[in-house]
Amino acid sequence: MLLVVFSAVIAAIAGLAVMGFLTSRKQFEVVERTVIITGGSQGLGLELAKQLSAKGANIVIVAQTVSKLEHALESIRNAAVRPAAQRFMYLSYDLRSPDSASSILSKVTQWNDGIPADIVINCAGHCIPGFFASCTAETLRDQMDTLYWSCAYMAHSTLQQWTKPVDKQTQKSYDNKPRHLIFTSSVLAFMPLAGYAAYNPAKAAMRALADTLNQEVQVYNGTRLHPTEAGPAAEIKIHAIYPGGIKTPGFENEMKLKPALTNKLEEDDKPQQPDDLARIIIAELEAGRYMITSSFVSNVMKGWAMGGSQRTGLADYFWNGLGSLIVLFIAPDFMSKCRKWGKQKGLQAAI
Amino acid sequence: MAMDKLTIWACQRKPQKKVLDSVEDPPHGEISVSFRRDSYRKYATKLDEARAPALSQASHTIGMLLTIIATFVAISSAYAIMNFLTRTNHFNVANRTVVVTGGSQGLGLAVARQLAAKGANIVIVAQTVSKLEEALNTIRSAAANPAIQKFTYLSFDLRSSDSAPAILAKVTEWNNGEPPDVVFNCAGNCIPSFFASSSVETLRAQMDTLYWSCTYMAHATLQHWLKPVGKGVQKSYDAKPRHLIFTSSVVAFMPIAGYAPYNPAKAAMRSLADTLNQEVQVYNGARKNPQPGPAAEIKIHAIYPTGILSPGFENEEKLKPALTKKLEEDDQPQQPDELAGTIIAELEAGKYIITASLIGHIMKGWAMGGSQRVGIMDYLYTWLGSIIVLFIAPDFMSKCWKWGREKGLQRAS
Repeated sequence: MLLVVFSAVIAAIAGLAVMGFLTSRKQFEVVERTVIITGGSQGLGLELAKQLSAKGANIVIVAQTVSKLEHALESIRNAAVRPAAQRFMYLSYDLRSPDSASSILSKVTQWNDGIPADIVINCAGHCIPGFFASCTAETLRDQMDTLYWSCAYMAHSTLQQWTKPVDKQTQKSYDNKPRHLIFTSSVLAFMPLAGYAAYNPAKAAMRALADTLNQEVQVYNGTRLHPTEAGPAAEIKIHAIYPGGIKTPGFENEMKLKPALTNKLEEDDKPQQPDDLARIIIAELEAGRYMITSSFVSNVMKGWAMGGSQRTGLADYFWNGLGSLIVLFIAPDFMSKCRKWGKQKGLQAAI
Repeated sequence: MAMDKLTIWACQRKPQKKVLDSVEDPPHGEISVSFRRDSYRKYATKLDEARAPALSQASHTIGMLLTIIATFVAISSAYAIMNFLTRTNHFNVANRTVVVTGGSQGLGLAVARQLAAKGANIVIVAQTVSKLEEALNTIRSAAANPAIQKFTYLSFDLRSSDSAPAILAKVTEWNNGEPPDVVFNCAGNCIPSFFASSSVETLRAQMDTLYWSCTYMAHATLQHWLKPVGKGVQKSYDAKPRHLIFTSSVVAFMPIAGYAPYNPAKAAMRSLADTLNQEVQVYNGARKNPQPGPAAEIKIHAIYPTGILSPGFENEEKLKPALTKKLEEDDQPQQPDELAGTIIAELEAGKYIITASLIGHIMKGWAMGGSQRVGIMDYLYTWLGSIIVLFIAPDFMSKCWKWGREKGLQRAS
């Protein structure tokens, strides 16, 4: 019996590996297409911008500080595969303001010869850890504004632009050129951790938005096939990225504020370098993945939290099965670690 | 039985053709009774042999299925019986003070009335004074001990960050210097819409009404509950945990197209509940440390209803996209009183994640992930839900796409 199970598991893994090779890896074409990256002046956003520039995209980075943006744009331009043909621009905006997104999109459209951007990647954000009761109400609101509202406003303006009805001719020209809207959430959206109280709900809200939009754009994508009525120009694809820790300039700040218990709870997660992470993300986008994770731990977490979200590829089913078993032990273990911590440290030192 | 048939058959005038055909050397002319009996016996044996493997296979499968179902039923029944026999009330509210936000109508009012009937002192919080006054009368008339129990209302806009600290201070003063024992967040409404069809104002309004209202309340409540006290005071709270309760929604388990302003706020609420459920473990552990710690153990609960037939529901239905109605057609909206009764029973059973219908249980099951499971039913529903969702998830995507293709852009959303 054990032998049968073992052989089945080996066969499944082998099958998955084969499936990996057979899956089309062309589902994220960026050559000569225009990509907007928020939070593109440092960290993950900057790495994605550089690597997509190396793949032939036109890049617009959006952040607040002009000096950082200028510096970043230099390195993005230097990475270009065809510097003569490709175009680069930065825009300085505070993404927490509801007016920024529509202004950004119209500026980019104008710069892009009247054509809306093809890809919008939301990377803007930083993390302020802390226990809920120890945070101020201001910090709680600040995290929601910086993490959730920044990308919700961008998504809102982007979709309003992308769902403008066009004639069938224009639709035809976009037939193999889907548009992509991408969110950067966190594994904490899969399972919140003590000590990330201001951050967890914002990332969970982002995941819920991605899952909502993933269904709603199916409606828009269907309308493109209506025999007579005008519909959106291009098919729209949603993606959400769920990294663990990322070694960015913001990471050191994060570590200073992080409660000791939180460090202990996440000790199995190794923070990743932004360029490694960016490489994995782009590969997953090219493979057409909806929920993107980049390490064993994050794959397992995605697996146990997947629920009603769309599974793309057999690998998602595999992680779903594996994660669902592992979490039955992890979940109670976390609760017990928290309790023991409080008992050992006492109220003052525990948080 | 074979013998009876044999005898009967043996007495028949003409043996059946199929039996004769199965015999190797059928005789000619008159067939003797003994021959008839022997032939029939051989035929019956052949039939039995032919049927045996199929029958035993079929009966094996049926047997297995019945065993699985029987085991499931047995485990749940045994659990239910054990639970019933050993039941402790993990949510004793007699003589304790409960704050219910959104307590002037709908689920909040139903909860407040039923807790009054269980002996609690009730404070309801909402905005409109006339509604609050009317509600308080209903709650007061439901009281188990009207002479002893106390009732009051507070009118506040919960979306303002100043409200919650003021509410907690007022209630503490009214409650003889003691903070409330139970804070039950029910305030909220639902404005359904496709995301791109919604205004930014509506998106923000839902987050304020649903998420910030309960977040501010939770924050202010914990400031009071975490004040360190000495071991003497702690002992007096040993059998009296404090409860912080959130009312989220099944859409926090699986967002549905057409609830775009609502889904993220309810998901944020779930994430907050899960975060606090771990963080209060630290505080609860600290009570066992020699240093001063919080007076009472703190318990977190989160409720995930489906549709509720409250005053807001009609508004909700007017705005709801037709596709959304189609996607949730299997859900039966519940009466607030019935829902409140189920919720209170689940609180008394010590549940963390509370669902109130089969659909709710199954959705909880597939979305449970790293959240705390309480009792064996949470595990059984995890298993059941995880299988069901493998079919539901792609089905929703496909329904959305077909809807778009049939209706076209103007009418689809």
